[in-house]
Amino acid sequence: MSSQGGFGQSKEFLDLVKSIGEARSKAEEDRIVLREVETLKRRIAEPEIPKRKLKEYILRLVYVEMLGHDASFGYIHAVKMTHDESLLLKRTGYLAVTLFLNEDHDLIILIVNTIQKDLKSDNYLVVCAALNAVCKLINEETIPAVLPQVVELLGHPKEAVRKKAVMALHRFYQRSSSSVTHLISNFRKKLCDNDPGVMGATLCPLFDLITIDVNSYKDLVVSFVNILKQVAERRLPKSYDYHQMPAPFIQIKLLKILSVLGNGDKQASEQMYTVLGDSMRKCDSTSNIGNAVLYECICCVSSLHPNPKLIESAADAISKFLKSDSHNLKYMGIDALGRLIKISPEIAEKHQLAVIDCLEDPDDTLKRKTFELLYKMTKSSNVEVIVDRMIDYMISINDNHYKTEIASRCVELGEQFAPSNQWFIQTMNKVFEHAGDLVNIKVAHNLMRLIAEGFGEDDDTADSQLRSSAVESYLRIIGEPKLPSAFLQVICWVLGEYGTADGRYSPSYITGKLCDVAEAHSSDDMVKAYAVTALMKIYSFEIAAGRKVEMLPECQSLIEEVSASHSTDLQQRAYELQAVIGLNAHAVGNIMPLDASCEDIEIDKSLSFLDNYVQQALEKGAQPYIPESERSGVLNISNFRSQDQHEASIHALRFEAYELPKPSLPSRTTPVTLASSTELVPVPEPSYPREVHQAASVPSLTDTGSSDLKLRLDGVQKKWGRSTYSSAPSTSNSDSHRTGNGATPDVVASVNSKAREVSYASRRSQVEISPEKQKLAASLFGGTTKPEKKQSSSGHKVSKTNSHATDKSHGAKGAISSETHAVSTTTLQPPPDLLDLGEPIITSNAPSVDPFKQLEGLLDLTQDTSVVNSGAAGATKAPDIMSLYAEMPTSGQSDSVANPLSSDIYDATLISGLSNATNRTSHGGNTIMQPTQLSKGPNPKGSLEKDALVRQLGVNPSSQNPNLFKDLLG
Amino acid sequence: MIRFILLQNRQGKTRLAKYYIPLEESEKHKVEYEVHRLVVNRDPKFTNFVEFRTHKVIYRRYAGLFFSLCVDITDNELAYLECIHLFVEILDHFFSNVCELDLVFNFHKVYLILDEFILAGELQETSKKVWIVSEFLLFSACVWNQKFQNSFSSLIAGNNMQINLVTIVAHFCCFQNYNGGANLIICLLSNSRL
Repeated sequence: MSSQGGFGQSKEFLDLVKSIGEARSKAEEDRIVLREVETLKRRIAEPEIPKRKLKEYILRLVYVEMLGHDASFGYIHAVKMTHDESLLLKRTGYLAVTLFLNEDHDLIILIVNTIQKDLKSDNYLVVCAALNAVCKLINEETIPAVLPQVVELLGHPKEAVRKKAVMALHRFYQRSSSSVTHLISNFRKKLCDNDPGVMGATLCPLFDLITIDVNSYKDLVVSFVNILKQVAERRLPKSYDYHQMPAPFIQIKLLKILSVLGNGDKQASEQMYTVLGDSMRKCDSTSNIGNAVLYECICCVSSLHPNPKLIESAADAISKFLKSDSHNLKYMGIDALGRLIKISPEIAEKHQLAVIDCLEDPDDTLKRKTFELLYKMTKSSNVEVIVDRMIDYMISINDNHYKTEIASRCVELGEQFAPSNQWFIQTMNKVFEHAGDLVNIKVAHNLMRLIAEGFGEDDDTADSQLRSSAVESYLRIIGEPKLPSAFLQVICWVLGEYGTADGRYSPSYITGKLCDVAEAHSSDDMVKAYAVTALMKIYSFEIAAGRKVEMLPECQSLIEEVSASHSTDLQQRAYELQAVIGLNAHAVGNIMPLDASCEDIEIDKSLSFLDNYVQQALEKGAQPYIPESERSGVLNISNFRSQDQHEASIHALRFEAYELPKPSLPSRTTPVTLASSTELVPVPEPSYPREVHQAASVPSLTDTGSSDLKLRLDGVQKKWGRSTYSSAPSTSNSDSHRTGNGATPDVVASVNSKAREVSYASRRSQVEISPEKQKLAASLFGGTTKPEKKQSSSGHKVSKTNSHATDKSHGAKGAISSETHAVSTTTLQPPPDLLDLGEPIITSNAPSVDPFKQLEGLLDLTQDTSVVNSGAAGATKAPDIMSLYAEMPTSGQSDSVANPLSSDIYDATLISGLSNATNRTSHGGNTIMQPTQLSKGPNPKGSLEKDALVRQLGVNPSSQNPNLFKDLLG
Repeated sequence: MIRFILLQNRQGKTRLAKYYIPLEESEKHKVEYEVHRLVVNRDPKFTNFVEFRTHKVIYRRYAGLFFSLCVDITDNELAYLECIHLFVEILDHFFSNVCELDLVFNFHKVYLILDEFILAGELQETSKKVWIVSEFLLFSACVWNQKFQNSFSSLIAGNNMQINLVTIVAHFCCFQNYNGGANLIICLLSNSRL
C-alpha cells in the first residue's frame, strides 16, 4: 500500500507521467519513453507478476502508445488480461485492447472467444465491457460469432445493455449490411423501448436505414412525430434536459429523420407541420443547444414539402442567426440560408448585407461557407461578381484541397452562366494561371474547343475577334514564370492555330515565343509537344500562303534537340515538322488546312479500303478472320473471375459446424451464373419507384430559380455544339446572351469595379458600410426580374445599414463599450472563455435541475454560504491556493507535515497529506472547510487537496503549461 | 458520425485520442499534428468549426486544453459543440473541478468515461442521471483496492446489484470523504429501480 500515490497508481507511474510532462523537448520525451518501453518489456515478461502490477503495466503501455511509440510487444498481455476473472482487470484489458488493436489485427481472433463468454455473463458490467469491445473490434469475418448473443441482449433487463446492443448491431450494419439484413426489424421494435436512452440509440441505425430506403419506412412517420411531440412537451425524464432544452440530442436525431422522410412527400410533410412549428417555437434561442435544435428545424423545413408559414418562421430564425455577433451562429445562419433558398430564393435578398459581411470576415471557415452559399445562388445576372470574388479568394489561399474545389466551381459557374465568351476566356485564364495544375485537364480541352468553335452559327467577325483577343492575352501572359502545364498547352495550341490568323503578329514573333516556351519548360514533354506542333502549324500556314519560310536559329536548334529526344512522340513530331517544311505549298495546304480544327476527319472504321486486299488474300487460301469472342477453346474469362470472387466472399471464418454435404452438386453452380448475370442487368428495382416519386415532386417544389441553381451541363453542350446539332435551343441561348450583352454588362461592370474600389477602401478604414457595398450586394442578390422593387428595397437598406455601421464603429472605437457587451451577454451565451474563471456558464446552469444538486439539496442547509464561498474560491488563483494550503496545517489538526524537500520521507508525505485531508473533514473542527465541501460548484477543498497532492508529487504550474491547474469549467 | 476525438494541450501534446475509424499509426500522428495546427492559432472570436480534409473538426477550448471532434460534413456543428461541453460537464462531475492535471494522471479513467459517452462513433447517452450511476460503477472499478474488496467481498459475491451499488456508494464516500454518503445511499435506493 505504501506505493500508492494519490491517483491510485504507483509512484513509478506517476513519475513517468510527471517527467513526460516536464520534458523540455521532443527528444527528451522520446528518450524517457524509450527507457520506459525497455523497462516494461523486461518487467512484463517476468513470471508471476501480481495482477495489480500487470494492470498498471498495461496502462503504462497505453500511455506509451498514446505518446506515439510502438507498444505492440505488450498487446498479447492486454489480450490475456481480458480473460481475467476480476471485473476490474477485465475492464482494463478490454480498454487497452480497444485502444491498441484495429479491427483487422491478427489478435482479434483470440479475443472473440472471451467476448462470446462475457456476453453471456450474469454481471451486466461484464456484458457492457464486452459490448464496448464488440463495437470496436468485431470485423466482418467475426460478426457471425457474436451476432446471436448480441441480438439476445436486445432483450436484456438492463437498459444500458440494451442500448449498447443496439449500437453494436448498428456497427455491424455499417461493417457489412448483408450480415444483419434479417435483423433490421429489431430496430423498429427497439424504437418502442421503455427507456428513452435505448430509443435514442435506435434512432441512429434507423436514420441510416431510412436514408437508403425511404419508402419502406413511411409508416413510421406517425411514430416519429409522436415521439418528437412528447420530447418537446418535456415528457422525458428531467435528466435528459440539457441547458433547459428537453433531450436536445434526441430531438436533433428525430428532426434529421423527419427531414428525410418528408422530403418530396406532401402527405408525410403535412403530418409533420404542427410538431415542427411547435418545437421551433419552443427552442430557446439564447443557448447554443437551443440554436442547434432550431437549425435542425430549419433544415427539416427546407427539405419538406413547402409550407409558407413554416418557411416564414424559418426565415425569421435565419435572420436572427445572421444578426448575431457569434461567428458560430452566423455560420449556421449562412448554411441554413443556403438550404432555404432552394425552396424560396427570394429570402436571400433580405440578408444580402449580412452575407457580404460574412464574405469579408477574416474567419476562413465562415468565408468558405459563404462562398458555398454564393455558389448555390449564382445566376447569369450575378455570375461575374461572384466568380471574381471566388478567384480573388482562390489566389489568396494556399490550401490545395480547397483551391481545387473552388477552381472547379469557378469553371463550372463560368461554363454555365458566362455572359460573354470574352469574359469566359479571361476568367479561365485567371483560373489556369493560379490553379492550373489543380483543375481537370478536360477544362483545358473545353477552353480550346470554345476558342476554336466560337459562337457557333454567328458570323465570323465575332469569332475572329474572340480569337485575336485570346492570342493577345496569351502573348501577354506567356512570359510569366511558373505557368502551369495545362495552361501552357492551351496557350501553345491557340498560338499555333490562330497566332498568325489576323496578321497582327509576324510568324517569326510567334515562333520565337513558342521556342521560348519549349526551352523554358524543357522537362515537360507535353508542353514541348504542343509547342512543336504549333510551330509546324505556323510554318505550314506560311508555306500554304505561298510565303517563304525562314526558320529562326533557335527553332532549328530546338527541332534538332527534340528529334534526338527520348520521347518517341516528340521525335515523331520533330521529323514530321521537318518533312512538312520540305513539301510544296499545295501538299502542305492539304495536310494542314487553315483553321480546320473543327472539321471532322472522316474515319472509315470498317476499313473498307482493305476489302480488296482481304479478298485477294482469301482467294490465295488465307484463313478467314474469326473474332476473339467466337474463337473456340477460350473459355469465358470474366465468368471465371466472377466465380473466383464469389468463392472469396464465401470463404471466411465460420463459427458454426459445417452442414452435411448435399447430394446435388450442380445446384451450387447456378447461383454463380445468376450472380454474374445480374451484373449485366444494372436495373435495381427499388430505385424505380423512388425516382418516380422525386420526379413527381420536383416540378411542384422548384420554380425557375431553383432550376437555375442546378448544374445545366446540357445547356453547355448545346452552346458549344455544332449549329446543326441542336439548332433551336442554341439560338435561344445565344439570344438571351446577346440581350444580356446589350443591357446589363455595363451596369454590372461598373458596379463591379466600384464595388471593388469600395471594398478596398472599407478595408482600409474599417468603418462604414458605404452605398457601394450596397451596390455590390445589389449586384449579387438583385434579381433581373424586378429591378424597380430592388431599387426601392436597397434605398430602404441604406438607412438601415448606416445606422448599423455607426453602431459598429462605435463599438470598435470604444473597445468593449458596456452597452454592446451587455446586449451580447443577455441575448446569447458568450463563447466559452474559460480563461475567465468567473464565467457565467456554471451559474447559468444552476437553475437547470442538476441531479447532483438535487441529491445535495436534500442534505445541504448551508448552500447559500457555499455558493458565496465557491464564488470567492473561483476567483483565487493557483498561487493563493498554495498559500491557503500552507496555512491549513495550523488550523487543522496536523502532526505530520513533513519536509517535502527530503526525498526519504517522500512517500510518508504523500500518505500524510491524504490522511491529513481525511482527518480534517472527519474531525469537523475545520470551520472554513466544512460548509464548502458539499457544494457542487467550484470546490475549494477539492482543488486544494488536488493541488497539494500534485505538488507533493513534484508537479508545479511551470512555464511549460501554466494552465495545468486551471479548472476546465471555470 | 464521429471519426475521432482528441484532447490536446496548447503545445500539441495529446492527452487523449480515440479513433472510431481504422487508421494507421503513422496516419494518426499526422492527424493529431494537423488538427493541433488547425486549431491552436484560431482567433477565439472565430467559429469553432474548421474544415479538415473531407470532414469537419469541431473544437472547443477549456483553459489550456483543446477538445476536438472530427465529424461528417453533414452533421450539426452546434450540436457537437454542445456535445463537447456535456462531456466536460461529466468530467467535472467525476473529478469535481476537473483540470488538465486530472486528465493527465487519470487518462485511463477518462477513456472509460468516454466509452460510456460515445460508442461506435455515436453519442451513446445524454442523460445525466444514468450517467452518475455509471460513474459510480466506473469509479468502483477504478479505485478498487484490497481493503474494500475484502470487507465487501461477501456482499458482492451475489449478483444483487442493489447491494453492489450500496457498496460502491459506501466506497465512494470513504474515498472522497463525502459526508452525505449515508443519505445518498438512501436517496439512490428509494429513487432508482436499481
